[in-house]
Amino acid sequence: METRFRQLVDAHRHRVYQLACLLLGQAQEAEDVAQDTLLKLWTHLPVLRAGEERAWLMTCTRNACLDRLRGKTRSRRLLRLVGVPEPVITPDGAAQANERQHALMRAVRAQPEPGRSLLILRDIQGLDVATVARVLELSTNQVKVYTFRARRALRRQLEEEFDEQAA
Amino acid sequence: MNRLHEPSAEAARLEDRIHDPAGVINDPELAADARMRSELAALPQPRLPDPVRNRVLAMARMRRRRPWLMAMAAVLGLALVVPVIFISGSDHQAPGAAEAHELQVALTTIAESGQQALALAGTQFGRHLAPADLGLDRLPLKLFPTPPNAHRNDDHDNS
Repeated sequence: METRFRQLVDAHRHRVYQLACLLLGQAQEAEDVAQDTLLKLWTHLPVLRAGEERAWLMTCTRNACLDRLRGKTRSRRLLRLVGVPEPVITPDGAAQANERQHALMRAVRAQPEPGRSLLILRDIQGLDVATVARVLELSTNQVKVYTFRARRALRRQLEEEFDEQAA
Repeated sequence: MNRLHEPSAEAARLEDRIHDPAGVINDPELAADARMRSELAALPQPRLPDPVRNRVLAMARMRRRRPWLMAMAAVLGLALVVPVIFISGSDHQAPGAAEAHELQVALTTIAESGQQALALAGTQFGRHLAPADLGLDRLPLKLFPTPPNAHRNDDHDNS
């Protein structure tokens, strides 16, 4: 079991971390989520069937990130209520990325769910439709439709932003 | 209906076409979507640092050992507790005359102490416990209580 676990960690750790980074926008938090998720994999490994691990890991990572984002939203609302200035969230790891990539990542993070997760899993991570459908508990047709709409909305939003900047 | 959104069947068909380079040639909007997709795929891929990976493997190993540690601790605990129970059980005997006498003396002492405390309290605090004379018996008291429906005063309203 330990060998299988090590193989799975090495095969999927970057993908798990990347998903967490893109959803949360903070490297430290993404590391925490990746670590927790991989340790959960160790606990659930005896009941996971071979071939299910990747979808399971992606689902677990996404859920953990969404929980953290909900917590952040709550705390931001609270901070606004008591009049404390909100901390500025800087996207770690994006310092070297050019302005366009920076804007793109920011725009992806700002998309509503499930569009945000679809863009990350389908376009950025290149997962197949069936796996994404399993992760997000959608039909394959819904994955296609929602991905198309989310990508088009993202593109139009970015075009408008760049047009405004150019004007 | 939102003008931004194509019907589902159309959106699914267009999504399939995006993945085929030949399918977007004659459609500028779709070609722009395909470029957007390529741009997303080209975003930098952050990598989980090796120390985190090593920490995960080490923690998993620790968790694997934990049931063995728990089992060993339980066996050790039983090995200590069971003999102690048996030893203490073998020493257990019925109380003799000496123990009964000691118990009687202790009970008598407690009873006498209680009586002394009661007498002392009566001496020290008895005078403070007498009710003060507030002269209530001399106050003019109303001898005829008001009936429950007296406040309605229906006769006066009708007249």
